[in-house]
Order: sequence, then structure tokens, then C-alpha cells
Amino acid sequence: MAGTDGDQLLVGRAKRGDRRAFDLLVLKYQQKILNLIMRYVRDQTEALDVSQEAFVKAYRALPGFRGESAFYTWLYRIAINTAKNYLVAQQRKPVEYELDAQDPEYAERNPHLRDEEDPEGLAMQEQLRETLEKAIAELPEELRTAIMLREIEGLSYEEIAAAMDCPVGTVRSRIFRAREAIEVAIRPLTDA
Amino acid sequence: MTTDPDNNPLLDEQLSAWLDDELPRAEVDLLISRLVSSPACQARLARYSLIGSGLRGGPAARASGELAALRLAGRVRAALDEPTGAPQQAAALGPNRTLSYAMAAGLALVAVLLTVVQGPLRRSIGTPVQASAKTVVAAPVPASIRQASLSSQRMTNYLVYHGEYSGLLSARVTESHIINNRPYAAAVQTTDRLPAR
Repeated sequence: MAGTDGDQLLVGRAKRGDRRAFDLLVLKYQQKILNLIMRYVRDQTEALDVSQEAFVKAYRALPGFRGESAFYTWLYRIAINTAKNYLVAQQRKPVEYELDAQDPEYAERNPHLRDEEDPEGLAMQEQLRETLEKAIAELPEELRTAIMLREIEGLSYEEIAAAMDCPVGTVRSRIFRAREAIEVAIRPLTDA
Repeated sequence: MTTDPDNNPLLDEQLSAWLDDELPRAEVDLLISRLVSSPACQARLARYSLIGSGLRGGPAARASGELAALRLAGRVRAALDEPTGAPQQAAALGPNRTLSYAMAAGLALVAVLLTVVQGPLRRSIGTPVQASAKTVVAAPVPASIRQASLSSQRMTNYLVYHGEYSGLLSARVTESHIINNRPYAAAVQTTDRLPAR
């Protein structure tokens, strides 16, 4: 996949000491990793600590990364192990869904696996969800379909193109335009 | 005319595709070079990422989104900027140093055993072993190890006195050796009751 090549490119640069390349990998995957770790560690502050440690570990382990798996898969395993080690160090029991969580795709598409959340967090999540739903409802049909197929169903651009009977370039453009519109809607929340 | 990287739809579209792992490699280089120098683009990347997380209801979405995540990126950067050489060096040095000590102790033990064993062998077997034993003895041995080595007679006495700690067979072998070797038997009779020096 083209994007995986992009990751490899960044990994190659980071291995040669280009810290900015690793910064971009952090930016790209921080949300996913934070999501993942928050399934293990409930507290956001702790989850940030553990996520930071996972990324630092990954950076230091980069020389040993041979690219036999995708970078994200490798990073995902480091994150899970870091979270588990953290819980062990805290003498807390790891959550029970860890077998399912071993699969990055499965865990990502099944947010119900997460642990229970604090009321403030739930309120924030609810507000974000409402804003997102409203923004998506206001999207033109083709943009809404494209972004939902991508984000909810996890289809590749090629698969979306086949499903929507349009060129891959059009899919890319539609997904971007959908994101752009949604981003405008959620920006006030994120800037708050 | 220069393009403002903070307000460039083409760049944002590349960003969106890159987030989905769908950006052709040919475009990645250019995107990365722009992305590294634009905090605004980085923030946009985080928000794009948040959209997916929010749509899927991921728990990080509740953490005011990019907020937590952007802090995370900065924290990782800061953590990597911290000097980490010293602890890593110490950690790397630890096992090596232990290994060196273990090797030194092992060599010392071998030297002691060679010194101890050479006496009985020299007397019981004869000249050829004597020659090889001389070769061993000729090697420089630290003073501490020389002091630690026992005389062959004292070693024999030790083995006899502590025979109850060894196997029956080895005790018999030791005793038979002593009995069959008259010079040794005589030496033991005259010296084994002497107080240790």
C-alpha cells in the first residue's frame, strides 16, 4: 500500500536520525495509540504518560525494526506491551479483552471494547459525537458515503472507488472534502 | 508566488490521503517536507485523525481530541530531546562489567585448580605430566592466587577429612590413591595432623 511505503520512508529517515520524520509518525498515529492505551488505562493523564512512553520506546527500538510488518502493527504491539507493563507495575489487573485487542484492525473498529469512562469524558465525547453527526448529515451524499465507508467500514480507497463506481482520485478528493467540512465544524470544540 | 503551507487545499488533500495510508510514495516526500515545518498542518492532521476517532467513538475522542493528542506529540518530542545516553551506557556497562568479573574469577579458579592438581599428578604419573605441569606453572599467576593455592599434601588431607561430603566412589578413589602411593601415605601420616598454617 502506498501509505505503508510512506511510513517506511519516514521510518528510514527516523532511523538515520531525522527526528522530524519520527514526529510525523507520532502525529499520524498518536490518536490511535492514545485510543488503544485508554482501553487499558482509564485515566487520561496516565494514558498520555503511557502513550508517551510507548512512542519513546518505539523510537529507541527503531534500529531493530526490520519492516517485516507494517510500522503501525509494530507500534501497536509496543503500545499494548507498554500499557500492560504499566498496569503490572501499578499492580493493577489488565483488562479482559486483551485477546481481541491484539488485532489492530479489530480493536480499532470495535470501540465498545473500551473500558468504562468518567462522566466528564462521556459528556465531552457526547458533544463531539453530536457535532460530528450534524456535520456529516449536512454533507453532500457522495462525500458522506465516502467518509463513512472509509472511517466506519475501514475500506481502502480502491474498495470505495469500486463501491461508488468512481475513480480512486475522486474518492481521495471526496474524503478530503468531507474531512475539511467536518474539521471546520469541530474546530471550536478542539480550540476550547 | 509562494504557496502558504498553512492554507493549501492540495497539501491538505495529501494530508488526508496520507492519514489513510493512500498517498502515493512520489507525493510523500513533498508532503513530509512541508508538514515538518508547519504546525498548522500538524494540527490539521491531528483534527483529521480525531474525526475518524470520533466517528468510531474511540475513547480518545473524549479527551478533547487533538488537545490530548497534540500534547502527546510535544511530550514525545521533549522526552526524546532529554539526554538519555548516561542511563543507557550504565545499563550496557552493567552486564559487561559483571561478565568481566565472572571471567576473571573463572580464570582464577582454573589457575588454582591447575596448581592444586599438578602436584598429585606429577608424583603419581611421572615425567611427561611434570613437563606439562611446569608449562602451566610457568605462566604468571597473581600473588593473591598463589597464596590461595594449597600444597598438594594439604589438599590431599582436605580431601580425606572431607570425604563424607563427596560420593562414595570418589572417596574410595582418593583413599586408594593415597594407600597405593607410598610417598603420599608417608607424607599424610606426618603432616595431616599439623595445624593449618
